[in-house]
Amino acid sequence: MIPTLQIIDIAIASLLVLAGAGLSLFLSLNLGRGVIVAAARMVIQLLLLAVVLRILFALQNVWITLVAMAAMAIFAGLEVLARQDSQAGAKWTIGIGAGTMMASGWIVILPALAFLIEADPWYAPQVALPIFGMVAGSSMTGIALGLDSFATAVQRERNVIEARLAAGHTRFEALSTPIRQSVHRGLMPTINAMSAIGLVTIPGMMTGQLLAGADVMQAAKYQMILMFMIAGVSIIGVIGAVYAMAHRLTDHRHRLRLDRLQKRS
Amino acid sequence: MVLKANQVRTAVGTETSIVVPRGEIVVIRGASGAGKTLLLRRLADLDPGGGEVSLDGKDQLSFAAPQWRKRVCFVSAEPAFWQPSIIEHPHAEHIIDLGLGPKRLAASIAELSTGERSRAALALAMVRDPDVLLLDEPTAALDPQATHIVEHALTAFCGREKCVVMTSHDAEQPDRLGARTVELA
Repeated sequence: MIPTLQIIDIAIASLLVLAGAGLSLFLSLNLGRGVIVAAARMVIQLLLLAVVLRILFALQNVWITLVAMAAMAIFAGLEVLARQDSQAGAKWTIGIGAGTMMASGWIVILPALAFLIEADPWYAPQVALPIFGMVAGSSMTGIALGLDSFATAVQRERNVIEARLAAGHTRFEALSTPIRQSVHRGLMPTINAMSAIGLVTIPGMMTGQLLAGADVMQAAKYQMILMFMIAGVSIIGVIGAVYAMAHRLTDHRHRLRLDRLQKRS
Repeated sequence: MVLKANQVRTAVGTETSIVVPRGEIVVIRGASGAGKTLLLRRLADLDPGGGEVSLDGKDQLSFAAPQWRKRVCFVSAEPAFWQPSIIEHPHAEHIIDLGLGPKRLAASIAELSTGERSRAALALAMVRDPDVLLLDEPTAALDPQATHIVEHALTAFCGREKCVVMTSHDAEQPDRLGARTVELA
């Protein structure tokens, strides 16, 4: 069993950050303030998260758990928006990011909770929320990368896309190359993560289970299920988000609508 | 009557109407910014905008957009291609030569000059056999000999009961083509 941590333990660990800030001051690196602010934010955010999770775990309510997942997806949508150089409207970008993540997350995670992990009850928030968080965090990166890559490709390839439209291609035929490139780009982090997992670091969920005293093989099996879920959600999420953005940047008359794309100021 | 545009927006606050019968070439003229390209794009349904456009009395909106563009084909002044060479594009085996020759048609797009790309784009549009060709400055990058080849091909195209609407800054071109000119204010 892992020992119960006291405030003094946290304080001792924080000395490392303070030492780093001091070193930055000594070397005139101008990083000390940023490091301390980030460390303070991390402490506050994790405390708030612990308070919220404690309430959610105590409630054990299926609807509240689903609403919490939706809220996490909306925050992820905001993060997707923040990572775009060109946006097709803030509401659209957040909607596409959060909507695809929520849809793909529920399609993959809810059955996995019920039939693979066999949590009791199946919606048990202490299982569902951490898993959704890990899966949403990974797929969010893929969706943000896919959408940013798509917006860049569509602007760069505008003449080719319009030449194809002028030749009588449908909007999705004309956009097939940017769609393919963006989906590929968005899924690269997931593919790379699966290929490299376990070679350099012990993955997060497995580390957590090992610290909690779980059997190594059992922890590895849980990590495999998690990686399959991340891959599944990323594939569905990135494809869904890129196609939704392709739909947004064209209209019902199969016209390219780059006027809907705004460069971030 | 074949192609008809009624009160189509061509520039901010400006609308144009035009009727192009079969067998006719119409050259759109006007200063830069008058909306010549905008008019061609609107006729091809590549840009949204007001007004009505019809082909043989059938409204543009009654066609699925891809079907409309197969019949009313726009070729940009900055042609682009989606295959590594011209010959790899659909139906390119039936392409009209336009002075390019088989070696240039098989060459990488990146190796083609601006004039060659311009002729290749026109040839690919013609091989799709549209009713109307909308050409944005099709001979601007061509030497006199290549211009003559393209003009001859356009005249032959219109001889098959089809029509061409094009822009040009060449003052003598309408006469050489036997074309009607329309001035945009």
